[in-house]
Amino acid sequence: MSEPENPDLTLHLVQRKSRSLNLKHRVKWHEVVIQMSLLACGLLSIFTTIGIILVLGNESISFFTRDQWVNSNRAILSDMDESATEFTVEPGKALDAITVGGTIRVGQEVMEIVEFHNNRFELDVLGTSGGFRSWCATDAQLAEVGRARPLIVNASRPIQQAEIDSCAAVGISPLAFRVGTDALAIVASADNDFISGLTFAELQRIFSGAARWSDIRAGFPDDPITLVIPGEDSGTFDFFVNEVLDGDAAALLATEPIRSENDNQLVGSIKRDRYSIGFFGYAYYAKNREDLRIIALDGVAPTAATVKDGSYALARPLFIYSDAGLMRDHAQLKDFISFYLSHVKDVIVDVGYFAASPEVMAQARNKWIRATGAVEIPTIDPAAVNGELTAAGSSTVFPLTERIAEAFVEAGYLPRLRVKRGLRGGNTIAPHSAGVALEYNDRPTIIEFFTHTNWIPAIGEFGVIPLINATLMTSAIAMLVALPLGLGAAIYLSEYASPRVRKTLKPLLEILAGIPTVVYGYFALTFMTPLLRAVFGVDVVNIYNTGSAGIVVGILIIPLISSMSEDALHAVPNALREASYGLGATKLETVIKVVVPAALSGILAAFIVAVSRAIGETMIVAIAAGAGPNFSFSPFDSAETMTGHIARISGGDLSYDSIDYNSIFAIGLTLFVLTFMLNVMSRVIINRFREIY
Amino acid sequence: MGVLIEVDKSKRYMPEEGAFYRRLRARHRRGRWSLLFNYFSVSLAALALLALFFNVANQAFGAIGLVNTIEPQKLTNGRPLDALNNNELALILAEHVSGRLRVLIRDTISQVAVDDFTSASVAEIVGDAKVDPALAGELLKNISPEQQAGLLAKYADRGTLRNLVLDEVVEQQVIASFPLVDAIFNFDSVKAEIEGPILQDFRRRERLDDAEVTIIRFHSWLHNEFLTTPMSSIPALAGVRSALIGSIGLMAVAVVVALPIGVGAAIYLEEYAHHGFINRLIETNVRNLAGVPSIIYGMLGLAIFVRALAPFTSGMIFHYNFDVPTVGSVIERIAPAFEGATITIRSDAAVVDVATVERVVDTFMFYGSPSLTMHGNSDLREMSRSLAEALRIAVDSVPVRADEDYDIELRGDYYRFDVAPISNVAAISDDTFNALMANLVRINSFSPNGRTLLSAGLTLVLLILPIIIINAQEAIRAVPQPIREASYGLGATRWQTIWHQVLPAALPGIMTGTILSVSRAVGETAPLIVVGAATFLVTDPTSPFSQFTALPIQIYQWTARPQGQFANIAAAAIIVLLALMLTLNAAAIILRNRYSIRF
Repeated sequence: MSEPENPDLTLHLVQRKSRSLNLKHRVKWHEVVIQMSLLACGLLSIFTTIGIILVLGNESISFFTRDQWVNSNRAILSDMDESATEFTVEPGKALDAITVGGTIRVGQEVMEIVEFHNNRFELDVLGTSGGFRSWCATDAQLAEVGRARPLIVNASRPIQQAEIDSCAAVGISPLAFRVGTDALAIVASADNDFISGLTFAELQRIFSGAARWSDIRAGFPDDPITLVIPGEDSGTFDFFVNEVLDGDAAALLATEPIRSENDNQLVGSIKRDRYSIGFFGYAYYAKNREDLRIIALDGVAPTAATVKDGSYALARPLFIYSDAGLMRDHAQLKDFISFYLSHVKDVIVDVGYFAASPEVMAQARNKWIRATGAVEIPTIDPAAVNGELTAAGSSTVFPLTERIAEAFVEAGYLPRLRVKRGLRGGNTIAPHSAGVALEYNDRPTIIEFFTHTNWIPAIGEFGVIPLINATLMTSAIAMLVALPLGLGAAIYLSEYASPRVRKTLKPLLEILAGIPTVVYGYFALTFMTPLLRAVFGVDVVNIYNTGSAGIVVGILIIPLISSMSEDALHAVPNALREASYGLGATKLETVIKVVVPAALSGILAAFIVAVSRAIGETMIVAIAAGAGPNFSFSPFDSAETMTGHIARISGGDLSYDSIDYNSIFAIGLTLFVLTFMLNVMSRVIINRFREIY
Repeated sequence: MGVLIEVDKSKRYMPEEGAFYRRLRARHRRGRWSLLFNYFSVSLAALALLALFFNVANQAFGAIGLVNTIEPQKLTNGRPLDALNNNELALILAEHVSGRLRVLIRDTISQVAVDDFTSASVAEIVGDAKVDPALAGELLKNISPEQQAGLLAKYADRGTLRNLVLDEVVEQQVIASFPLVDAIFNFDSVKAEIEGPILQDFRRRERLDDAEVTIIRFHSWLHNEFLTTPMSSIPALAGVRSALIGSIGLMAVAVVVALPIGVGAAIYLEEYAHHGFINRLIETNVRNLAGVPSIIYGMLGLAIFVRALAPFTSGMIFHYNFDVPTVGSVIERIAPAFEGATITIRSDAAVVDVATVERVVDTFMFYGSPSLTMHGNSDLREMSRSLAEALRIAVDSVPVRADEDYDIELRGDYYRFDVAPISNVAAISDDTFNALMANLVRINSFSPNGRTLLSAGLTLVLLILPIIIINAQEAIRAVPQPIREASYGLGATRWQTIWHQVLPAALPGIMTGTILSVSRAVGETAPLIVVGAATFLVTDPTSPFSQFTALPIQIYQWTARPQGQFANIAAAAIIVLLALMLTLNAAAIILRNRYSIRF
């Protein structure tokens, strides 16, 4: 270049140059805009991650907070106006699903439960001795048989000293309330036409081993006697043995009589057999007069008069037992006994027993007053009584207690709820009329999600374990296939193969890696499954099975493992190999003891990425592993994996506003967290444990 | 300075010579065995690939047995079909498929547009003013089947008529298919089985007691029509046209959106932010995203593109005209789904036989109509009743004139569908008809609700973006630094350097990476299932806002069906898919080899 001849031009150029140097200080807006938009492109990937987490998280939260209303098989008992916050529901068995703080739905109105009293009466027949035993059992003994301590014991005989002692051991001092008198009825079948009355001695003979009726009295038929008696735990049995057999039951039991704690069964047994005879509480005779024939004893039949004046030999008192401490701790118990004592005289005759004398009843009421420290027996309003009541013991007293309990329930002792009205929005508060079903909220909990072993959305069962199990099954099988083969191929390609062989084999593995997974699915179903069935038998191997799917997933990830492992092996410097050869190692020894350990972090990372890939694989398992969650450890059974389930559910006519829709996102989140952790883990392993040469 | 190493002469460091060589031999033997395992690994991988290709080929080609529904000899009293003249052929049609004559006229000799067909006069249809004056002004549906047949005889050529007779009356059906290996090595036993138990079974099932196997021949399930016909519920008639177009459409969306964004991100990472926090964050994030299972992307697409952005992805905010179809075209679109069954809604009182009902039910199953799947047991009678019920509901929900009535009744083995209100197609409005169709088949293809080609394409964009970014980064990194420095030295700004120097040099690499990732996207199935690809679609997607299906979806659908012939067409579709991917990969390799710049 020659010098410019025109000085003006030179000056001009210099000026221009200085201007263009200044250019550096000018804000280049378009460059900034370009840079910003490029940055936006980069940030899009971060938004994708955030989007995935937000979407999965949001829908999963909807899954766990979504109301799932389940009918409680119970309806509200009385009308509710808009302002009512307390109401009762139909009585019945436990309402376990209703808990304080939970939500219920009446009609379309959602309410929060502030207070819940599951008022119900539970009556058990265990016999008098059985009742005392469970009343005075230790907590450990009760836990063993899975029974709660009854609050009341129905007893058809006074408590015995041994029982008082065992009660004292658990801090219970029995308090007897006399509620009536029973006459023990000696009965035969209505078909029995040969007995009208027996003497006390004859009765003793019958119940202490006599075999035939003709042995008892001449003129009775020569037929075997069938004895039907209450079980040994019943107060009736004890009473009979004491009064009639002088406390010696051995001879009676030796005849192997028909025994039952249930008096109705006794009635049935006697009714059917003309030659049978038995005894039980008078109430059961009173209820079954047509089927039974009462037998007078020494000419005295049990009636109100003969029982009251003591001329009938087998009359006995009836009690309920409780304890002052229990009555203090359970206000409902105190109230119920008071109710019992005030009302028993109205129903006892109807039940079939005889009322105790007014003096005896007054004594019982005084006992109550002393135990509670009250001044007088109050009038109880059962509608204000809250808390569960339990009674156990004698089958003789049972009908009486049951009748009182019924009256108690009828007067308002019912499951009672106090609620906060109109939980959602507040404008949904509406009056409800009696009979509207009560629904409780049975939303899936996280614990249920991860611990239950059933995935049946139709009945609200959401336990993800079977899906995870199937995923782990297919992944484990895949790794069993891919791990040795992939590593073997990698070692061969990196250490043994000549460059020419490598050049042919690597593209082959790349082709294997490039084939769409749906094609692999087809391969699994139409090739691998028939192969497995041919080998192991058609009956053993299901058409859809995790084994076939797992093997093909393994084939799919062989290229992944081999190419990542090969990179790792390739990165090991040759000096290491040469040193090994120099020490006289063979090629195998060099590979196994030097090269592979040196590349271990890379190989490990390859395995982890492969596991993550196997877990996330969808189409192969969706086609070949089966449709329908199944908790099975057999590789020949069909089972649906997490991904397979998502694909199947979302492939159908999926309604966006359904728990099914939300549930696949909950599964998706589980899957995402699982694979994400594995990917991060492989990254950490590469970075932390990599040997750098 | 020598270091003295003391050697204890009394200790032996080496074994005896014999033992040494023995051990050495053993060590080498172990080495050979382990090498054998390595060979085994590699050859097993190769074997798996071979088995896969063999399996696909085995299913895609093979032997089939064909059966005539009516033997041609019976139609012609023993004369060969080729010897008949036009009138005789047309009469055969009039006799056996009188209900379909108008459809045949429309498909063969009609000169008017499909939409105008029902309202056109005979003269307009045949495009001949000199047609029989008694018929010229009439609507086609008002003339008798014999007269319609006369039109066919006069205006269609003999070859067309002969083919119509073969297709419509003789109606060849594939009754059995056998894979390639059986067809080659076991042809005799294949033949025996087709002519024996399979034919017996077919006769019993179809109630064609005198059906005979016409021909057993080699058949390639992959043929020209396979690429050009849409979906069908009869395997032998099904094709992959809609799926192929759908796949290409997805590819287009993916490339158009993912390429600029991916390259932009790569440029930013490589050229602008070198060591910053954001750079590290993005790079780690991109690599993690590459490991996320593809079905998760599908769920993201479902929540974002299909639902949240539905107004955008369904084209609503663009006031996109959904191409609300006219009655004629609806029938055109729906009819193939019914496989030409006489229950083409428009026919006056169609008598439908059991096989047809089964086919229609099958079609309904494809659509996932709940009212049918609810009763979806194998009992045909039960299913047909369900179908009748579905039709009844469908017809009930259409506001039609009160004096018109419909009747669906069961007669012996036939189900008679008298769908009177819609027999007069011209009389009901398009809206009504659409309402009816929506009810009838719940296809809803006219407003895809965000389940569109665009949604699926954008989902795939998210899926392949990390791969494109990583590849583009590598390509940009491969451009030597001196190129940039030279550019700066000439006074270029950073963007000028990138735009004029770096990008052109990196372009072949970027394109190769993009094509490879698109080829991966083409094979993706799981995300498409989740974002709601249509499982049975007989219409081609016409815009980004159309419903769509894709090749892998079609393969999945066919693979999931139990009938053997679906496995055959699935294999054929796999070959199409693999060929498409092979083309893409080949293009990538050519691009790499021809245009890559070596510095």
